[in-house]
Amino acid sequence: MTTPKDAPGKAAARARVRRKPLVRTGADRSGASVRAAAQAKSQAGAAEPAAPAMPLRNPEEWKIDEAVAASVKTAYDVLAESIEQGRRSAESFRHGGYNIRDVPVDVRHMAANLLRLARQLSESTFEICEALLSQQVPGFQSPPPGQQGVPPFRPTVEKDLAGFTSGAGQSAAKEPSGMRLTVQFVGAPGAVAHSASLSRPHAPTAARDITVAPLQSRDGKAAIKVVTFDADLAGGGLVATVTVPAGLPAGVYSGAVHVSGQAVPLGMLVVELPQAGQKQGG
Amino acid sequence: MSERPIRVAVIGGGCAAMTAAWELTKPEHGGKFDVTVFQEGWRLGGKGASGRGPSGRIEEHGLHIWLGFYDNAFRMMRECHAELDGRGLGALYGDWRDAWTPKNDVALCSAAEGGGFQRWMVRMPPRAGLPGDPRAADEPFDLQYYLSTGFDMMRAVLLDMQVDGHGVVSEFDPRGAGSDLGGRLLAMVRMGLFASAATVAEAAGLLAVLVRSVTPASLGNLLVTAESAAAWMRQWIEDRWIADSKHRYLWEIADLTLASLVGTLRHGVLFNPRGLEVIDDYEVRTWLRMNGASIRALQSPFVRGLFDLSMGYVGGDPDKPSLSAGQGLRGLLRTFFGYRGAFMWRMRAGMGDVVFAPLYTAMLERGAKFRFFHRLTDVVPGEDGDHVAALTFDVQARIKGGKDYAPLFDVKGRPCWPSQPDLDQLVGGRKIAAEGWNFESHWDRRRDSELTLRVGEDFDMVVLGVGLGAIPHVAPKIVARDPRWRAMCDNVTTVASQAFQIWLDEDLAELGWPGPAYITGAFAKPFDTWCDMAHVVPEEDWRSPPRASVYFCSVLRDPPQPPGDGDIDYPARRAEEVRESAEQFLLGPMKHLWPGAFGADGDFRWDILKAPDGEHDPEPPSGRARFGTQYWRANVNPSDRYVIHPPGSWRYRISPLDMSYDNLTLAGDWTDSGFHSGCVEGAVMSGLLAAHALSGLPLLEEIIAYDHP
Repeated sequence: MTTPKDAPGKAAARARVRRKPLVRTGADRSGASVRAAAQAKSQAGAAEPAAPAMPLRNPEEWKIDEAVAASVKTAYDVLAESIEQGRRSAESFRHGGYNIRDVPVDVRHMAANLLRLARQLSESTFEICEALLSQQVPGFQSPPPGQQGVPPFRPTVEKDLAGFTSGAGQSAAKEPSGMRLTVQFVGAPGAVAHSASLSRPHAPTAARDITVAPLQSRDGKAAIKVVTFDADLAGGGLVATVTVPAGLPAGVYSGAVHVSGQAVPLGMLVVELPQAGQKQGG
Repeated sequence: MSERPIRVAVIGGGCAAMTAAWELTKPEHGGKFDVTVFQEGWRLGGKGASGRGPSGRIEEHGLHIWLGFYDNAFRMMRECHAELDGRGLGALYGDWRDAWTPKNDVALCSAAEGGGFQRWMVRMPPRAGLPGDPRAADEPFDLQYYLSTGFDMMRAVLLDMQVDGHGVVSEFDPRGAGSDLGGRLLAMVRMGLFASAATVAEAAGLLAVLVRSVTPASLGNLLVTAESAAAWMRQWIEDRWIADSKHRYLWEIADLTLASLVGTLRHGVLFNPRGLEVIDDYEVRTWLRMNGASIRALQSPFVRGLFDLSMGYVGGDPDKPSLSAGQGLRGLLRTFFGYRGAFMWRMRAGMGDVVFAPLYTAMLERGAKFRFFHRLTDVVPGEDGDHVAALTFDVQARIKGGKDYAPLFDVKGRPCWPSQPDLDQLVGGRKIAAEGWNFESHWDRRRDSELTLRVGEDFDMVVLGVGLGAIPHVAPKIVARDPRWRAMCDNVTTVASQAFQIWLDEDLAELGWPGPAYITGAFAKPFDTWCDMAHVVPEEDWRSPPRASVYFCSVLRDPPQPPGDGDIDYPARRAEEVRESAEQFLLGPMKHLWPGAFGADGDFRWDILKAPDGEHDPEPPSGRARFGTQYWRANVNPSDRYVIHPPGSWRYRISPLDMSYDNLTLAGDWTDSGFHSGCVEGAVMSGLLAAHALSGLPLLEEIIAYDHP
């Protein structure tokens, strides 16, 4: 082993090479440096050599029907013009060519142009654009980090491995007419659900049209009133999010799940809240 | 300026360290920097190291695909190939365009309602230019550009995506529709398909225009319009979802994009000097949810794919997804809207062969020195605490005759890294072989000797470019005395990973997977990401080549208690776990994707696995034991651990530009590189910053995307 001859640093202190101070020691994410560089390049007229363009896709590779492709191209042309107009406007504003009060008018003008042209593609677009242009309400706040959470990804492999480990290589049986129900809780650690499925609605239904009567305790003295439904992509069926208010007594709560336009409920949602300080399984 | 060159010790051989070495040895410095690279073991590459095993087969740490936005990385490799060509060595590695081929096909998997998986395939549109080209002056990568380009891209994706082989937009029955354009369009509109996709796409187009025009004064209006569009589209698709799940992807893309836009506006990101960092304390899924994304969209394969590709699971636990909103969004924006040429670029061969061998050869030509079998054991600060006074190493092995170790060997005419060291070059090579030394194992500390280098005598400056997980082990004194370094080690998180590769005697089409070759993400755990790598087989050296090779990778869950430093068998135990998981994986989830790989008895047909030539004569093992002829690994070494970016961790990253130590800089994808993700581009950007810290070059403005939001 080579052993230091004396305390590190002493012998070399005089001759040491040091890093030179840096103009800056972090990124400038404001966009200022990027814009300055772009401006300098364009002012110098130092156009970089044009990038060799990648060959466009072989016509045979197009998966979109030719008619669709043609119409899309038209739409792109239309949008390209609008985009170009937008860029010009933004550039003018940047260089002081606009008064700030003019900008919303300009945006409206562009969107109106686009509206007129996009209408040829879809009547529905008309509705969107009108909605977009008619809204004029500013002012928003966001909660601080860590105040909310979302559940982790639902497993995708359980069914497969369950089938494998049973030696049969079979998937779990699917309920013929039922709809899987996954229940998650907000504000109630240890709460469990005793409902795992509901009947399917008789007609195509949006998740927001599914509601539940307030979940009542057995003695009827307490209730959970906030339950929302979302469609469950990973597992299929529905996800019910049960928001449990603070201070609710432990016990079993239940309520019927309804869908608008259908008299017969889809089933019952039954949940159980643990005693304070008690954490249940599941 | 001193007369003699400034001696720079570069510690580590991964992307970041090699980039720093590459920059400092550039001819424009005129020999100002005398660079020596110190590398443990026998090969460069770090987490990107690969080797050639039996039959010249490529054996990787994991699955490496270069994304089309890796501008800094591509620029370096293009320079490297050009320089080799200029030195008359061009034929050795070929043109860079031979080394990378464009790839635009992506597949994601989502759980199907009836069990199994649904395939979501999309061909990303090729874009002008090539990665590494100079950026055009009128292409400022500010958030307005990103977002507006994003909506354009969204339209293209919507119109080209296929679900289980059917394009929703193009799926219509032409019979009776007539041959004229009007008739055909009418048929589609009647089916409600074209109209629905076009509606979403046109809304995106409108938003693109609005975003391009946004100013601080009109932010509020834009937010309202975005939320309004989100609400409208949400209702439109929700209304149809239960009845028609095939259209879910339209909703998911629109939902996530609009939630991103709403969040970007709500948090004032667009005009904030900190850019996306202002939302980096939020977890990305939580942030999207806050801004209107549905739970369904958050469970979608698009979001899963983002986490899988970035290995964003704390402790390798699939139940603990964690990725900061700022970096998550930055990664998505750059990935989808910053690429040039192609969405992805596949390497012709192993990452070691395509990246580190050319870099090594070119830098050797420049005069850089490489000291293999040198494992750093401490970075000793000076008494004043402002510089590095000494570096101590374990010399794992000495080279016979005092020569330099020659690390490359020839496979079909190309210099490649072997999967094992060439023990014939080492003093005591036979003993090392007999005792089974593992030079790359953190837990195998066997060595030949120790070495101390002193500042002013042996080196002047240091680039510390090892993996983050190794920092507490290679710089214990600094970590003990410097609270920032300690906080960095405690809060910038890493995960172990696992990988396996199989070679097949049948191609994937025969096994039931539709071509062309896809990189597939969001698949079942544990191996959620895999890729058909048949294109690298011609580079391997088989007597009778396999028809396909497929690479799988994912995070690997950490044990409840980390292994002790003396637990020499730990890597082997974890590797055995990986083997077991891999075999189970082929038997289980792959049945849904490769039905042809299973026999009538329902068992995986192990005999389609191709064993290396000559290794198992006369016959390779049959049945499940055949898997033993394939390749798998557990990346559990501290230096192999992959950096992830949980919320809030940004503030603990230390920049290579940090001036705390006046002769030391850091390099690695775990530093404050401007792109906080475990990837080649983040590492290269960090290496460029390290070079800038020591030499002033490259200029920060020339590091593409360093200053971007």
